[in-house]
Formats: sequence, C-alpha cells, structure tokens
Amino acid sequence: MPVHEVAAADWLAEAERRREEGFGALTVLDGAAGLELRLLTAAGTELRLPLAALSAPSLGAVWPAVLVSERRLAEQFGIAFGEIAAGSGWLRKRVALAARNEVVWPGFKDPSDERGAPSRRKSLPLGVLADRTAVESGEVELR
Amino acid sequence: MIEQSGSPLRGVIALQAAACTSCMLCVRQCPTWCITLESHQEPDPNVPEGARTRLVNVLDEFEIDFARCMNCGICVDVCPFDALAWRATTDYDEPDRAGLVHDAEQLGGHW
Repeated sequence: MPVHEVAAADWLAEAERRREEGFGALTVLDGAAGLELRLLTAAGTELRLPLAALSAPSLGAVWPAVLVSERRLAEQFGIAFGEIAAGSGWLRKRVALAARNEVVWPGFKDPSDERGAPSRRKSLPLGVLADRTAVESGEVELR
Repeated sequence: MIEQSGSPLRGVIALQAAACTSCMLCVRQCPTWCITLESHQEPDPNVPEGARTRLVNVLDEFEIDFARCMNCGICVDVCPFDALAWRATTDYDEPDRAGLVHDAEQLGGHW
C-alpha cells in the first residue's frame, strides 16, 4: 500500500489531486512522535500528516463524507479542522480523565500487596493513571 | 414483572465466598467500579508434606455497591469459578444509600 507523507501546506491540494480515488478513512495515530493524521483513500493510498499544531485544513470540500470523521477526531483528539472547533481531546494519551482519578480504582489492589510482590497487571482502565507524578511533571494533563 | 419475563433473571448478584479465589477479575472488569475486594495470601495448608510452600489467596471482604451497579453482569460472566451468580430476587432495596453496599455476608445470603 503506497504511503505518502504530506506537509500541512499541501494537505488540501494533495487530497484534491486524489479526489477520484475516493475517501476511505481518516484516523489519528497518537504515537511517541506526537499526533499524526492518516487518510486512507478508497483506492488504498495512505497520506500521513504529522500535526505540529492541533489543527488541519478540512477536507470536507473534497469529500463531504470526511466531515463525520473530522468531527469525531476534533472531539476525541482536540484537533481543529477548518471551521470545526477542537473538542476536549479526551482520547489523547497525554490526557487523563479527572473524574476517573478522583477516587482510587479498586482494581489497583492485589492479594499479594501485603508481601510487597510486584504486580503482574499490565493494563489500566481508560483514563486512569498508574501514578500521579505524571500530572505533577506536566507529562499528562487532567481534564 | 420479572416473574413474567420467562428470560434469565437479573435480580441481585449473589456471592459464594468459598468459591472466590480473589483473582480480582470482577473488580477490574466492573465498568462502574462498584465492587471492592480485600484479600491476603497465606501458605496453602493442603500442600503434601515435603512439597514446596504454595501461597493461596484468602478472601477477607467483598462488597458490591448496588447503588452504582448497572446490572451489566460482566462480573458474573468473567468469574472463572462461578463464585458470582444472578439470583431472581429484587428484594434488596434499602431506604438509605449506605444500605445498598452489600458485604460478603449479605451477598452470600442471596446465594
């Protein structure tokens, strides 16, 4: 599957050039390098746009169907798409849910706690922090 | 109304404490965080003589807050030892909020 990295200034023009390929999907990758917008055309081409700022041009004029995905990503990842305002971005990795961290998750407890044995638990519920030092250091933001 | 449905009944969640191994699966899977479980580990008394000591989990306390429970039944489904089960009664309401937190003894009574 061909993959093309696109600069922010060329995002709209590149989509227009590929209009006939049809719209497939628009997703966001929240990786170690930051947020990256990934557009898949119906023909199978993938366009990637690294997001230096939390905004991107809307592709609604090229494919009206893309607006649904843009509205969803605006809310989930706090990205503004043209006239679509950025939402709270609650799904971003550096955002934890304040309400979920006001009380301690009951699943933190383990029968082996008394012995001081290391926990084998790897996963946490969405928005729950393993420790609050990430908030104090500014690495994670509570919303 | 429940009696008329004829379908599997979701009345109250009951606990069979003897079957619970304190594996914490129900606690961690509960979407509303309404289950709390206290436990500790002890050497297994049933280990054959001369065998290496083995630790077993011992249940100290098990509570379900029925004010927060949304009757999804995930805890019943995930329990590997069927220590939790639905019982048809809905006769567990209380006049105050605190009364809806049922401890292991009350949950065992539903069994």
